[in-house]
Parts: sequence; C-alpha cells; structure tokens
Amino acid sequence: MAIIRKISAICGDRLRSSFKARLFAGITAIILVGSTVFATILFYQQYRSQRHNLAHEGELMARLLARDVRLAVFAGNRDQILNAAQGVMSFPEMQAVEVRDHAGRLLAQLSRPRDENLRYSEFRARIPGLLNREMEQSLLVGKAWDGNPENSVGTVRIVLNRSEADRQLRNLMIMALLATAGFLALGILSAYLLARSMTRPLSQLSAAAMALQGGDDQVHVMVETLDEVGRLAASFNSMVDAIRERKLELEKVLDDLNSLNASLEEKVRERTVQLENANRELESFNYSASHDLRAPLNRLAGYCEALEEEYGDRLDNQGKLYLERIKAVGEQMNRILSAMLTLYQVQQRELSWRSLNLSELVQAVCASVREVEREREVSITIQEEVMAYGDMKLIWLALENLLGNAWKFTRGKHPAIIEFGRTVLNGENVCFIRDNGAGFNMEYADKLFTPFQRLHNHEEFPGTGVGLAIVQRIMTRHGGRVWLESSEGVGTTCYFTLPEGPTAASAKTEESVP
Amino acid sequence: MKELSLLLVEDNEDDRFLTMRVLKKLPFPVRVETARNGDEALSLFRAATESGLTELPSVVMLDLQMPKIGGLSLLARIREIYSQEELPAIILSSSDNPGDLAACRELGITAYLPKPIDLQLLQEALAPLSPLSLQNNVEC
Repeated sequence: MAIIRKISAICGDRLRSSFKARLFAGITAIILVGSTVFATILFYQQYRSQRHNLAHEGELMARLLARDVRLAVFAGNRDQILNAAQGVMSFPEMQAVEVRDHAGRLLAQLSRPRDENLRYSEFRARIPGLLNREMEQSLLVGKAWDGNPENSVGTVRIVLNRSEADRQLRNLMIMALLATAGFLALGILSAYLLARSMTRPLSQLSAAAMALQGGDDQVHVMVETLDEVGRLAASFNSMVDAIRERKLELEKVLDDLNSLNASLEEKVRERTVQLENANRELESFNYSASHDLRAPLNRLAGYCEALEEEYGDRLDNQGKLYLERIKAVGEQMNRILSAMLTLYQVQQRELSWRSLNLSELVQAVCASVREVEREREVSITIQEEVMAYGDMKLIWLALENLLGNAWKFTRGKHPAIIEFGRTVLNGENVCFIRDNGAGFNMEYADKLFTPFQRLHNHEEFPGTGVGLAIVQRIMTRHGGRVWLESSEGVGTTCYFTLPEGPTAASAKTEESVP
Repeated sequence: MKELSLLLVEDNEDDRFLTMRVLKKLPFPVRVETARNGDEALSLFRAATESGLTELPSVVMLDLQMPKIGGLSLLARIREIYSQEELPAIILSSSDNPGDLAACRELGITAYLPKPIDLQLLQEALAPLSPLSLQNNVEC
C-alpha cells in the first residue's frame, strides 16, 4: 500500500509539474476508455448475433428433422426414422438426436460421447400430424411453430455442441483485443507526439525565459508554428528585443551618469585640493606673520627700553607718557600675535585623549584667574564631578578663555557671579558657564567666533578678539559645539558640549598616539 | 682678569645692536665677535680649527631666524664638529615654537632665550661659562 501511495504521489507531482504529462495522461485515458468501450460493444454484438444464429440453426434443424420423420413416425417405420436421424448426425456439431412418438416412447436415439469441456444447447420440435401450407412457410422463415399438441404425432430433440461457435467467439475476442491494443498503442504514440509537439515550444519558451532571467538578453525562441504557442513565442522574442533595447538605453544613461559623477568627483577633488592649499597658505601665513611680526615688535620693545634707560631722565612727563603708550601698544600687539599662534597651534595639535574632571579643571583655572586680580570679589559656584573626555591642554585653554571672559565681563558688577555646571538641553548633556556680566546683543552672536571680531571697546574690556575663536576650534576638534546666550546688562551663558567617553574620533587618534 | 669670548651670529642690525647693549651690562667682561650670517660664522670656525689663527670662542650665541643658513642648521653643522662641552651654544629667538625648542635641545644647547633678551636670564646662562666663575669654582 505504501508503495502504491508513493507511486501515486510521484505521479501526482509529475502531473502537477508537467503540462506535457497532463496532456499525455488525459489523451491516453480518453483513448483507453474509448477503445475499451468500443471493443466491448463490438464483442457483445458479435456474441449476441452468434448466439442468435446458433439458436436459429438448431431450431431450424429440429423442425426440418421433425418434418422429415413425420411420415415415418406415422407409418411406424423405425428404419426410415433412424435413417433420417443418422443424416442429421452427420453434422459435426451434432451431439445427440432423439425421436419420440406422441406417447413419449423412444423411436430413435443417436448420440456421441459427451465432452465435459464443451458447452451444449438443446432444441426441441413437435412432429406435426397435418402439414398445411401455412406450416410449410413458417418452417423455413423460422417462426416458432408450437403447433397444436393434439395434432402432434411425436417430438424430436437434438443437442448441438457449441465448440465451433465458441471457437469463433474466442477468435473474435482475440481479434478485438488485438485491435484494441493496436489502436491503443497508436493512440498513445500519437498522443505522445501531439503532447510533445505542443509542449516543446512551451519548454523552449520556459528555458528562454529562465535564460533571460539569468541575464542573457540574446535569447531567441524558434517560431515553428503559427498557432497560439507560435504567437506566444513571437511575442516573447519581441519582448526580449524590447528588454535588450531598454537595457542598452539604461546602460547608456548609467554610463553618462557615471562619467558625470566622475567629472563631478574630479571637480570636487580639485576644489578640495585648492581649498586645502588655500587653508595651508592661510595657516602658514598666520604662522609666519605672527613670527615675522614678532621680531620687529621685539626690536621696538628693545629700543623702548634703551630709550627709557639712556634718555629717561631727559624726557618730560609728556614724553614719558608717550613712551609708556608705545610700550603698551607693543604689548597688545604681542598678545594678539600670541593668540594667532595659539589659534594655529590648536588647529595643528594632535589630541591626546583622556578622561577629564571638568569641575576640578574649572576650579584650577578660576584659582589662576583670581591670582591675577586678587582684589576682586567674585562668587564662583562649581557643580562637582562634571566629567568629559578630551585633550587636557586644549580643554584647559578653552576653559581659561571662557572663564577669563566671564571674569572680565563681570567687572563692575556687585556681586559678580560666575557659575559652572551641567544641564540637559533638548535631551542633550550640555556644560555651561554663566555670568551676570555686561552681556551683549544677540544680533551679533555669530560674529563672536570669528577671529578679531569684538563687541566691546578695548578700553572698556581689553582683549585680543581671538579667544572665542580658539574655544570654538577646540570644541570642534573634540566633536563638540559651543554657543552663547546673552542679554545686554544681564549676563551671558556659554554652552558647550564635549564627548563624555571615548568616541570613534577619539579612538582613531588614540591608536596613533599611544 | 680673563674675559669671556663670545661669538654672536645675528643677521639683523637692530638685533645685533640691542643684544650688544645687553651684553655690555653684564657684570663680567665679555669679548664679543659678530658674524652677520651662517656662512661668516662657519668660516670663522674653519679658521679656528684648521689654521689655528683665531681662537675658538667660549660660547656661541645664535639667532634662529636667519636667511640662507638658519640658526638651527648652523647649530647642526657646529655640533658635527664640536660637542656641547667644547662649544656651548645659546639660542636667541623671537619664536616660542615648541618644535624649535625641542630641535635645539636635541642638538645640545645651554640656553634658549626669547627676544627681547632679558639681562637676568642672559647673566644666568653665561655666568657658569665665564672664566671668572670657573676660577671661583676651582678655588672652592
């Protein structure tokens, strides 16, 4: 059972997966059923007519015998009866002959030995006493003549073996079977050929479609017929052509796009190189300017000193004041040059990343700032344990600038308040340095980070104008940001962000700086 | 009393004048020779070593920023011939570039003085080299 189920499962799969198999199976089934039914009907008809013929023949022989022996029975001539019976027996299919009188007495009996393998049919007929014209006619036509028993003078009984009939029937059956088998074979062959001729273009189409899917746009299907399948193949071919054309167009567009991209990239590269060169030039200008300007400035300071030492006693007060101013201007210029150098160095420095306690750094910077102006009273509040990750020197420099600003701009405020801490702005951890100093108009806020942009008179709040630019560069180099919020006369808050732990950028530099 | 012989290599006239002015203020006697560029200085050294016509100075003072042979390359050429003990060097510079300082230290210098030169710093740098102090040291 399991095997049958398995085979039927495989056949089912095959039928489901192959159109050819389905077509073939369908046609074969129709031919099988049709030829079987046809052969069966044919055979049945032949069998019926054979049977009918046999019956007819038997009856006819019985009736003929009955007529032949009528006069002899009348006359009681047994020899004549026997003679007639023997004549009948000469037929090879005759098994037995029996003639009885009207009282049932046996007048003649002849028989052959019985063969159990054969089948037999028995026929009886009455021997008519009178024979009229009507009877004579019905005798040959085969119309059953039962006659009047009163009128009958006896009965004849014959037994026929059906060997000949059966043989014929058997032959017929064999022929029918052979014909069916041949017909079936022919049918199956033509069904197979038909199925194949129908499905071959389809499988070719399928293979071509697979090849097309695989990227081969040169596939071509032979159009062998003009039927639906042929039309399908033709439209497949034109589809492949269309796809190829489309693909070529696409490739062309892609090529154009690529060359455009390449030229754009080339342009970007050129511009980048130009920009880098310009930047480098600017930086080296910055560097050499600060150097080259410092040397004459130092000479100026040297001559001031010489003048003061050698001619000081010969200068009047006005002259001494001028000398002081010259020295002060020189010092200011020196500070600016230092700031420019610092700006350059901040940009060039390789960062050495480490964890920093900002609170402690702020504390230390405040102490050093306070050292310069001990007489001022400034209230400084520092939130504890604010940590960050960065370059100690640069962060120190940034804090120095920011706290220096806060210190500077709270001059003249009583009490002066500076606050350092960390808060959350828009879900981001942000450090801040807040003062209640002079503040500024927010309209100019973006100018502050540009070097040498100042919002206050030098006399009012001295400075180089580079400090916030330095701070911004430091924060940017750490991947952070810095911005200011201020209101004139109320104070300024400087916000800045720094990494709180190692970042991708810091890891990269840390590898190169062990 | 023996004086400290000193070679000042300085291209700028103003700087030469101002440095000389400070040198004169030192509390011990110095004899200063000047070279206006690296080539001049090198020919002086060549004269001292090869012919022995001139005496090797006790100290050489170098300006870093000079045309052609700069102070740094001049120092390197000097150190090819003389060790730091044989010829101490003092660098005069208006640059506070840490790179320059490190390069000079590498080659061997006694002091790195920023311009304008501070008398106090110069005195501190030169005092141990003056024959006077050497004598003192020996006596001690």
